[in-house]
Amino acid sequence: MGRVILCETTPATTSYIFPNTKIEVFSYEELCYYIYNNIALISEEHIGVPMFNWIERELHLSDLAESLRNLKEKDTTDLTDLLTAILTYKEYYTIPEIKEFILQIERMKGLSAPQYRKLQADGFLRYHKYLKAAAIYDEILDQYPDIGNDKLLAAIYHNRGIAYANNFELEDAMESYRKAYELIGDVGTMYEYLLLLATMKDREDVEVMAKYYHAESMVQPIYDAIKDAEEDVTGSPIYHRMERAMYHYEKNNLTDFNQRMDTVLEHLKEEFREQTV
Amino acid sequence: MDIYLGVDLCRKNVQMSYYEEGKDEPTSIYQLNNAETYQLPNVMFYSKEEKRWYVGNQVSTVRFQQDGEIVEDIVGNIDSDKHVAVEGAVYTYDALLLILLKTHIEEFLSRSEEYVLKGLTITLEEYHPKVYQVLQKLCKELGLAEDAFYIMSHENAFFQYVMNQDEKLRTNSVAMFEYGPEGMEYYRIDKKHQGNARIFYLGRESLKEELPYAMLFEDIASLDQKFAEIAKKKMRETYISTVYLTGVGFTDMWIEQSQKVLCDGRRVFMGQNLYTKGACYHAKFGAYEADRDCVLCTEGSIPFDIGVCVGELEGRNQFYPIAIGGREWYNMKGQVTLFLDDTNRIEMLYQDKVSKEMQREIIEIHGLPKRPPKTTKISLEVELTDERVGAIVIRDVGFGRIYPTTNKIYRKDFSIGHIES
Repeated sequence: MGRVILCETTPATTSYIFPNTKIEVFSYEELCYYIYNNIALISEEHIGVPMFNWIERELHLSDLAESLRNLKEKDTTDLTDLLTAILTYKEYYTIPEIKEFILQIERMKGLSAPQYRKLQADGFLRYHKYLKAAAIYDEILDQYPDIGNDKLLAAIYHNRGIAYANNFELEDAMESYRKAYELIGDVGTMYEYLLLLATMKDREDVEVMAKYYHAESMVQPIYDAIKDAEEDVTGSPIYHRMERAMYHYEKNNLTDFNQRMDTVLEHLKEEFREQTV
Repeated sequence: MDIYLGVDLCRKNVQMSYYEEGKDEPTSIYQLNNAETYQLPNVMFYSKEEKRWYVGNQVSTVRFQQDGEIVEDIVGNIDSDKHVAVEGAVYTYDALLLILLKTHIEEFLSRSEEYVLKGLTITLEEYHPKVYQVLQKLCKELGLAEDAFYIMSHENAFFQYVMNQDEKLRTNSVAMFEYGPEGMEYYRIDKKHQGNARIFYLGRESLKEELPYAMLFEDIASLDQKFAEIAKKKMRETYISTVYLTGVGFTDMWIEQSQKVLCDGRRVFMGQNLYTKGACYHAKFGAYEADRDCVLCTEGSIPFDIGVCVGELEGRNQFYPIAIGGREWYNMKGQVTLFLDDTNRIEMLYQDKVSKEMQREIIEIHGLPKRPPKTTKISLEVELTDERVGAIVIRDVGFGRIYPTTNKIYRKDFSIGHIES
């Protein structure tokens, strides 16, 4: 059921940066959203004085900051208490949603180590920290070779595929998707596999592979999705930069071309650096 | 000492009054060189010797004593593209108006080191977009907070004045005759009760044809008689407790017969500073109707609150007002920030201030990227472009760096007539 939530807080001028993911939040609601959706990435050391000071100074929510400080001082306080205090301060999340959040924390306590680590890796993946995510997926596969849970293993391989694909390690990504599919035959995984293949090979090759996996019906939607993505990307800033660079290249203005390409490369490097946590 | 100012800005002159702690009512401001009148003409004089501007009544003295440039009819020329060149500098009329008002205010405040301007309300004889813009700049230049500054119509200033008088003076309706260069205007405030709420209707009627200003220079006796006839008719329309007479046309005491008619069982007051004092009451105490369960309905005011439905779309929700009605259309604006949770729809609500009836309008927002629930943050602004037409402007604010803004803006026009029908 849809809901419209009133924003009752003012955003900060300086962000709070979560030390392990380097994710920046600029408002109370972003803080709540991050907490709610990344329980696996938050530990008690992350909810402390620097955050409380930021809440007071930047968000101007002195009473929340004060109540968190008081809670933290008590011996009986645990992470759930601190996170719940933040989430219940305003009505960004409803009471039933917060109850579900608390249940989720309880369920996580019963997770196996690979399940828990996978959740953490998924969190990094969600925030586009592909290198870190890939490293954790690899670590799970190394440390727990006999997981004994095909569904979990397939999910790990699938998400590993996403991480590698976004880092342009395409062969490794394809291999991950293939392994994931062979475990449980998930159609979503096959779609991602064929989509990636379509960016690397000709349509004929894709159709052959699709036929092999009895997934011919996916081919046209895949090429439609690629066409949509190509149209979307023409609106992106980096595409415009590339266009202008190529224009100068064609006009033999190599100085301008080089300058523009340096800007593009710098941008891509910066994006890559942001992944390193 | 905290000072609250009320300024009446008319085409030909400005009147100012201030509210001082310990006094019962606002005090009109005279310029130091002329205590006989508190009407400050809209003229300016630039002294070449002193390299400064003189304003208002000071000009009549200084212009003959010093060499300089005189500029007249500042408000009347506000629409003009002409520039005024003075000592190497070039001014537009809006720039001159800003200097005029700022000089008046600063000169008054400089009379005491203790004076600190805390609130300013300006009432306008007539709304003009350029004048309005100049006044917004004035607010910034005086360093006033947004909630310490207000612009209102003459009707509203009249209402604020009346409501800050003794309650006995408004047991029944309150009337006003304004006699100015445009002729006679008649105003009346009627009160109705609706449940616990009080609704004030401020009506206006032109009597320019019956009582043109030119009559003042013809046969005074005929004017008095004609006014008496009209006043009698008006006083019979309903019970009226108090009558105010204002405008330069009443300056010479020509009312004899009409005075008898008006004073029959009523209080009658005459004065030229009603609007500035009404504005000053507002600057000090805020709008009378705010925080009281009452509504002012007058021409040019918008009879709706405009808001949005927050909460569950098909469950528990409430009306959140964005732009409060019952005020001049140019004051009716507001902004709110919302999160969309698993929906792309917002429900705009228009609540009639009198009947409390609600009209609803669903706006569907298309074209935004698909984001997880609660991460589509939009700002919603309401503004009116004139008395009949407004717009709702929706902007994608983005969710910090987690889901950056697309910078998309949507605009939905609405008309008051459509809502009323």
